[in-house]
Amino acid sequence: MTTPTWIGRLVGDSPTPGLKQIPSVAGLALALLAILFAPRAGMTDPAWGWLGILIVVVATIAAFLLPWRRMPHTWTLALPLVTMVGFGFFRVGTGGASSLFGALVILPVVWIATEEGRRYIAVAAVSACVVLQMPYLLGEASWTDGMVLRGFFSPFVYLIFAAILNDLAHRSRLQIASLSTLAEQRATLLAEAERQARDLEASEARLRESEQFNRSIWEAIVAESVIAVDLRGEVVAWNPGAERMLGHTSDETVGRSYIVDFIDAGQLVERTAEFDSSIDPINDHDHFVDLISAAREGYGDNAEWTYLHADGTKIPVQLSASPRIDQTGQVVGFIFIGTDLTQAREVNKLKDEFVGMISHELRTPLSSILGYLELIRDEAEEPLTPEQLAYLAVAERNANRLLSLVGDLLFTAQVEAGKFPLERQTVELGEIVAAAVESGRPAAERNGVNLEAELPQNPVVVDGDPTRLAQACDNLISNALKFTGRGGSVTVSLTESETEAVIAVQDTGMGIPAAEIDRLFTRFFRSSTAMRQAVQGVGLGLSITKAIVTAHHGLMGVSSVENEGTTFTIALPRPLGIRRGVEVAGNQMNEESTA
Amino acid sequence: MPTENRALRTLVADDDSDIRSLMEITAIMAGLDVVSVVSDGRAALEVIERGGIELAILDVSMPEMSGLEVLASIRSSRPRTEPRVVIVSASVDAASLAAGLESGADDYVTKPFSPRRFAERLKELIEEWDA
Repeated sequence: MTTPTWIGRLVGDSPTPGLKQIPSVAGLALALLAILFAPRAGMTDPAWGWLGILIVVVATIAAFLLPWRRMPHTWTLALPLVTMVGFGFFRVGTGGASSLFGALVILPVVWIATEEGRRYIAVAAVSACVVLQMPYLLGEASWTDGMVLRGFFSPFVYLIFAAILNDLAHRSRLQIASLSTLAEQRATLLAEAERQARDLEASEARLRESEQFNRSIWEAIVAESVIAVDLRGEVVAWNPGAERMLGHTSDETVGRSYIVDFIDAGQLVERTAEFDSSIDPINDHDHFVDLISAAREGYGDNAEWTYLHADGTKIPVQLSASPRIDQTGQVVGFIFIGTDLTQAREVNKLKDEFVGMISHELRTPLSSILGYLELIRDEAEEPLTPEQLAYLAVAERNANRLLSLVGDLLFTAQVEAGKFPLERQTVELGEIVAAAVESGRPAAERNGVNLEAELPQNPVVVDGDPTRLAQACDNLISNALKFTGRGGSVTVSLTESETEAVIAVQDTGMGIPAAEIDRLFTRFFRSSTAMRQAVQGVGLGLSITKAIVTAHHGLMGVSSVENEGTTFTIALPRPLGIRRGVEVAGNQMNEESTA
Repeated sequence: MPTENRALRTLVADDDSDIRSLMEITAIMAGLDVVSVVSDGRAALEVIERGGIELAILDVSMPEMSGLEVLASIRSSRPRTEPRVVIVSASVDAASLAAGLESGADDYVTKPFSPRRFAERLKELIEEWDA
């Protein structure tokens, strides 16, 4: 440390005027002790001496008691100046120019000289000069004795001393300021470091948690295979699901195998050839990205592929491929998630078999019933009585009902399985609607309902399956007849516009509560009115009708007012060629429609 | 008016005895000469292989061999019209119908059938074949 510590203490911000005054008080106390124990150093003129002491004491009290912090800093300099004057009087009272205690003046000089600024060197020197001349100014010493020179020489020494002190103090201040800045910086850095350490710790904890979470997910996925690969298709991660599905462990595959090693080679070659026959998908790892891009374009991100198990078994999988991205957003590989379709396929097969079985097992006995009932009715040699014929009609009607129910159930199963057969051809809707109205007529007569058809003069042609469209019309008409009371009416109309043909079945029946309209096309839904009025049915007719209309790209509509009636509409799009009355080449649908 | 048509020597094959009888009655109503009634596909094929059958009315779903398999077998080794074949099926979908006709059936009837209308259809077919 180049600057004495005591100077540092004096020039720092912390010393209060009281603290700075202590050296002067201590000096005065030593002087008084010297006077007490060395009578030769005693007071020569007690009045001046005690005045000096009083001034120093007053200055000291002021230093401790006045609120200096609230005053301008320069005002504190009044304290060393007053103290210096006190010491001047004390010197006058203790021997004047020859006093032992002239050196006390140096103590307030130190205070003044250590103030920041060169001017305080002058203030210290001039004030010391004045104080040291006091014996002469007060007439206590003769200007003519040689001692007067001390009053000039000593301040000169003090001037040099003050200059040195001032400079040291200045440097010390700078050093303190610099140290303080450094300390502040260090404190800031420390706080920052602590904060970063805390953040790092928190991040690490989060990272560990996240890693644990990811690991748990990774380990938990056992139903799907998750395989991560690099840009050449080399395996970089292999989850327990992949181990289970493909029979290879992670150790056997990571860094050692390529994803294509686990895909049915024939399928891979076949599908690759569709994109680029020059690529050898099994060995040409450099073109792996092209292969994936092409596959994603051709088959979508989620396509069916065949995996190969370690034991050679082929496994149908739904394989989704998504890019693996690094921190900079670059694609560094792909993730393949495979879902085993074996079970789903088996379920579908069972469903198909079930549908087939039902189709055969239910329709065969019904065939016998209906066939033999007809033979009885047609018996020419022994004709039945009218009563017997009526009983037979009931049996036939119910057998037919059962048959239609079986048909509906089968059809519903087919719709659900997505195997809904449509035989599209050019269809004249007028004929279909007229036939449906005619087939509904016996029931209408039985129920006492007036059934009417409003058909246009010109044929209305659409592209569709005549059997299914007839089924849709039959369903709507039979529904309307079931829900319309005796004396009511059902009107079936067919209209056409530029873009569509609309079949409307309007009844004056019991209507459908507004709250139930949304659920009307749900399978097995039966309206509250149907339940209340014990109308026969299982709730499949409308869902089947809607499935048929949707398969024809048409729209179904319904509007109903309770106790007033209901109108169902089927809007079917009209083929382009027919609509414009010109043949549009190059489109099978249009060619058919204009045929 | 069965006498108007030539009484074709007919084979009827169905695994359900009631339906088999109904088909036989229907064939007789159509004026056909039912010479053989069997309950499975293999037996039907054996009868046809022995020769002399002019019309075979075959159910699709039968044990041993299905009606379609019998049809495929006879169509692969004989002229197109020997014998004439009518396929009867409980299946309603278009795919089965197409499969039946593509295998070389002369007609395709779905269950349940009306004996009267089936008989009329058979008479029409015989007229077409004779023409």
